[in-house]
Amino acid sequence: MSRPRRRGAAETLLALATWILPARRHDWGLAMRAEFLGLEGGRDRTRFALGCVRTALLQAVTRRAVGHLTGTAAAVALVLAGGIASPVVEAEVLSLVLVMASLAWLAGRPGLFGPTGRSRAALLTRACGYVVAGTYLLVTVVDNRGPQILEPGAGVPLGMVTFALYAAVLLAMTARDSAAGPVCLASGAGAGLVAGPACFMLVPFERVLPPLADSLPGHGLWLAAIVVGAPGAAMLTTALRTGSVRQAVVAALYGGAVCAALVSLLGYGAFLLFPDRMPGIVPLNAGSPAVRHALDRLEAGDEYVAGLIWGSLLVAVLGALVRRAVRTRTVVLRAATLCVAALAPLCAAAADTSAAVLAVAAAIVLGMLTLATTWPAGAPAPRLSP
Amino acid sequence: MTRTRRPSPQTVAVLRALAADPSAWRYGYELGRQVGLKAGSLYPILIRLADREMLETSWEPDPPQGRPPRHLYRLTGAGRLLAAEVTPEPDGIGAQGEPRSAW
Repeated sequence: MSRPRRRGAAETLLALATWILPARRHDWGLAMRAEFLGLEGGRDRTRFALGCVRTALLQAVTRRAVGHLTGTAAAVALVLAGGIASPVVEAEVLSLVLVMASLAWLAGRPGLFGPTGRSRAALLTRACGYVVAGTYLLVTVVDNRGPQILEPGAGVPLGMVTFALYAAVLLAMTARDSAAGPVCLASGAGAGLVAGPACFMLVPFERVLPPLADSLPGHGLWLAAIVVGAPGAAMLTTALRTGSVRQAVVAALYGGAVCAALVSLLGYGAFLLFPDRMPGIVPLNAGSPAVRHALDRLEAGDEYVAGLIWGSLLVAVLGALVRRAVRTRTVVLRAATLCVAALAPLCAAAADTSAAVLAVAAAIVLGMLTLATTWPAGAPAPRLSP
Repeated sequence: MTRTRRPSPQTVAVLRALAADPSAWRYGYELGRQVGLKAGSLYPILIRLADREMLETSWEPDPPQGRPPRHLYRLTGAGRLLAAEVTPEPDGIGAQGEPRSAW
């Protein structure tokens, strides 16, 4: 049995060149590789590979990389100059910036996250995602500026992990090889955008105040039909338009994930925009007014943290479903994700919050592993005719 | 708007080599050796020409076993016109020696 040959310097250089090449130049990477494999002699190969690296650098540097590096540098500068008092929070936010920058870089390359699908829905979803990412970063910086009354950065890691999770799965969904087509993306996003505000109005405002829907006719209970009906409509529309059950399920899950994210965003937005409307949740002897206000906000946020957790569960399942499963281990991981994800609502129904959170965490890990194992076995064969 | 700037001497050399037998499919390494260009100079030229639809590309139909198909190139109609426009004199770059290499 022959052992696999070790990759030499020339091969490494060529691999680097094909990796650096922009996604739309993928065919040229294959061309370089084919030429390279036809060459005899290490010197010729090395010189050829060096030339390929130069070509790739010229292609990438003049386009996407400049924009990417500029954006990343601007984000890092914003964090460093934003006046975040706590070094811990600053480090956390910087790490989020680096994670998002890495994802954005990978989003332009052939792989799990890229390149972007050719449909308008995929492009629009990504564009909105980048706007939301920028806004989230800005709000996080502003919210953590100056001295903090409570432990600095409370809730920042949870928000960051959730955000990175959403970002990764959204990129996978909108990548060219994703199983989620334009109808699925559009109907799912539409359902989430309709269901999210309706759901937000139905949950107790700031955890203890009456729901906003209370002031509507019939106490706004009809909004529940929207919350349930919108993802259902997305599912039906996708099933009818695409004939694919999987896409229909993905559309409904995507609608639910967008809905959950919106509920959390609206809840946190309410804290930031209307700080004076914060209900008094903690006792009067909890501390100074400023401390009580900060504690009230922390307590009121629980409802919206729950929204984030349920959203993460849906995103984990989406991550497990959104690409073709070719390998056996992917199929096994996908089945495990679905089983564990189903346990979470059962545990919550049994009022076992710890078990429910554990199930969500396990589903997230399994869902991401499923997603990771879909590449490169699920990669399309290279186009052999231009 | 189409750029009307005269191509670089390296591009002219590639155009001339391809125009010598316009119906023949050529592959990159062979073409690079003929015109004295290394990969770092040749591929950007080929990519640019293909982007401007001066170059037609294809893949080798029957590659030898164990080697992936090579990318093949030949001039399109527009490419032949450009080649005719920019290579009227025989004492061009090829006659003066090898064009400047990338590395």
